[in-house]
Amino acid sequence: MKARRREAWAAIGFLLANFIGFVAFTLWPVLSSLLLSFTSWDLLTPPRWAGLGNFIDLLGFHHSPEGWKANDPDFWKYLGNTVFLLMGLPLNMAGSLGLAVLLNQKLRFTYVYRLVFFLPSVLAGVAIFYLWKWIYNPDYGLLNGLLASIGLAGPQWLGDVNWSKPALMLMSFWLHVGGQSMILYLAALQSISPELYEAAEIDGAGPWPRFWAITWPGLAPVTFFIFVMGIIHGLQGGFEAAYVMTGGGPDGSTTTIGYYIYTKAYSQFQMGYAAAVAWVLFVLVLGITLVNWRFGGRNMTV
Amino acid sequence: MTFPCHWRFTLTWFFPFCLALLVGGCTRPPGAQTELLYSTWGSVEQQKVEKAIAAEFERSNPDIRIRLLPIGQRYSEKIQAMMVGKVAPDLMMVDITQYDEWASRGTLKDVTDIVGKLTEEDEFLPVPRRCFERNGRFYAVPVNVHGFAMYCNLGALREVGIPVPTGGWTWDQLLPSLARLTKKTNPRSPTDYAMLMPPIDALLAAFESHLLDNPENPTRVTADQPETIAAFDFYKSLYKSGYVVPADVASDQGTFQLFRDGRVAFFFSGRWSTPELAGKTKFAWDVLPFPAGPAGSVTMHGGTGLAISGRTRHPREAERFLEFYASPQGAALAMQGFRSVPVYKALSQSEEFLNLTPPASLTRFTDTMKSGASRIQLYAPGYAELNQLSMRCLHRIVYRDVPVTRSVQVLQQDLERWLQKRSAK
Repeated sequence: MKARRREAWAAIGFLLANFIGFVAFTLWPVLSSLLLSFTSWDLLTPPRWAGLGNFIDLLGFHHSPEGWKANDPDFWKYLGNTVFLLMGLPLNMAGSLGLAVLLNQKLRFTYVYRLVFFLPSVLAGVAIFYLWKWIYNPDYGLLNGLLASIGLAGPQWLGDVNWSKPALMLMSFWLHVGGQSMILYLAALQSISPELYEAAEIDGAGPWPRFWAITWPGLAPVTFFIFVMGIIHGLQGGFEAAYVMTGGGPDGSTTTIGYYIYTKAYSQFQMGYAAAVAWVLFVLVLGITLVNWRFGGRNMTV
Repeated sequence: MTFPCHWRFTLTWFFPFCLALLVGGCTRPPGAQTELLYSTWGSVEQQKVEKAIAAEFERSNPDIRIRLLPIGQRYSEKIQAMMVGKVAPDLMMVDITQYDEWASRGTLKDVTDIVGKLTEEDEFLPVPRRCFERNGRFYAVPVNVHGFAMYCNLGALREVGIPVPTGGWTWDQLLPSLARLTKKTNPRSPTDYAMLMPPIDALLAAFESHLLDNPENPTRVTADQPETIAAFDFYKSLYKSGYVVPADVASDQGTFQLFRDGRVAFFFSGRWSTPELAGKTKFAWDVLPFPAGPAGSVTMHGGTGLAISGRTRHPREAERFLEFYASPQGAALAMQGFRSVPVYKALSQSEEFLNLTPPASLTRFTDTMKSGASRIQLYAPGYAELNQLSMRCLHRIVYRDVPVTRSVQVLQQDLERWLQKRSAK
């Protein structure tokens, strides 16, 4: 009995360290931010209770001579940017899958190829963003240099509202195509029984039907996992690229909700408002994830 | 209850010993120096000036040590984070853009008495005084006054045969020259682009545009006036002309770097850019007045002040450093670093200052302060949002091709809402 109690105390001791860390650095800040979202706080003076004011300013509409207008049109614009940048997710996934299928072949130097494709994922984000900033430089960047060599005048990639988002999507594709998703797909591909392929081959199925009948259903749980995680990360993301490469411009065309939270909190010192945006984002992410699980994740196990 | 022997030893000797060490370690030995943390911004060259001033102060005040805290980018964000964490520097440089926000929240010490003492010897110029005086009180002592002038690559101008007018250009006179200084329109141009975009505030001033009826105490928004439309229209045509550096290239390469490397013929800045250029360019350069618009050669002025944190634990020592730094003696040291324009009337007109080179036409920075040629940048609390709204108007015009009149109309409505909210507060 005494030994069991001692064991229990030891277990509590071990768990406590983690639990204290969780409470101090996760739970407490999260609950504080919820409370803050109902206040007006500039960091330097004590927070003032604002009730639902921040949420009304954020999500509400007002009537003007030109019709109904959003109280905070920036929020909707930046939400649009965030969703637009999310459009790159299927492309990234398709690229990762294609790459995983290629790297799953029995080729010479496969490990080298895998390493090369995975390399961008282990590089420091800021360094990559600076690198791409140079690639996109309209005057002497690599990309416009290549375009010029075939007689095309490249656009101002990061300085043009029409090109800034596609430019970030292209960079994101380069960054993510050989990353975690490819590794997950590769692992999933290797877990599909080769007997299934042999049986299909005996039945006379070509590579394409084999892919659709065996590979694709076999990868469904992983695809679903990558998709859900991609949406979560996508909705929260975009901060580093905007901070380093564009400053959210031109004309806010690369500002995502994540970057908007940062600017509201640390450039304009509207902490309460920033907390409100963060909570709206949380609800949005939670809602989309629940919808995904409800309709997409049925009978799937990862 | 009985304790084993080693516990008794621990309680009787070990803990008291540790406590004594701790108390001893935390006690300041007599004659020890007081360390003041002083935060500044600026390049390596500018830091050298700060170090020299601090060293000079330490020589005559051996009981105080100044620890410099140079902050490269996002100065105000970092200082504000330190203020929140109650670890703000004892002394800090304050830009006019942040001054009112911090002063109105009680984070800066009232230094009106020090200003009174300092100005007994030599009085402040009206522009820096206006920048930092609020209802007769000062929360920072002005130490530098920012007036925008036009830095000019004389070598490039000579190469394409553009004469430099002695009194500066008007915008109308300057525009036809820009094509000759741009590679795209003149492959033999020594510079890639003619100029960097001028600050919109200064252009609005040059076009006699007023966004508010009374900038210090606004009651009505006056943005939708023909002067504002003309200023934005001019800005748009300048940006779209292809003679100016695109915004992303400017942010990528840095503005003074583009000028220093001879890639741009004109750029707009204050005297603080001089240390970055002195002896580092392969061409001759000088400063010219800000090009004149319909309202003449008007430029915007801001300033830098030195403030004491409201929470400093060493207010007396901080005051001593402030008095030294902001005194005519400190100002004379600072101006030797080519970065500042003295805020004192006599010093700014002294031979000691006027004989300093580069730039050759140093007086351009003081000429801008003459009456009728200056407008003060206003950054009262809440004005950050106003600036943001006018920048947004500009971006709509430049990046999204929204017609100028339409964009200014939206600006008028946005400002009316801003004023309404401000009045309600």
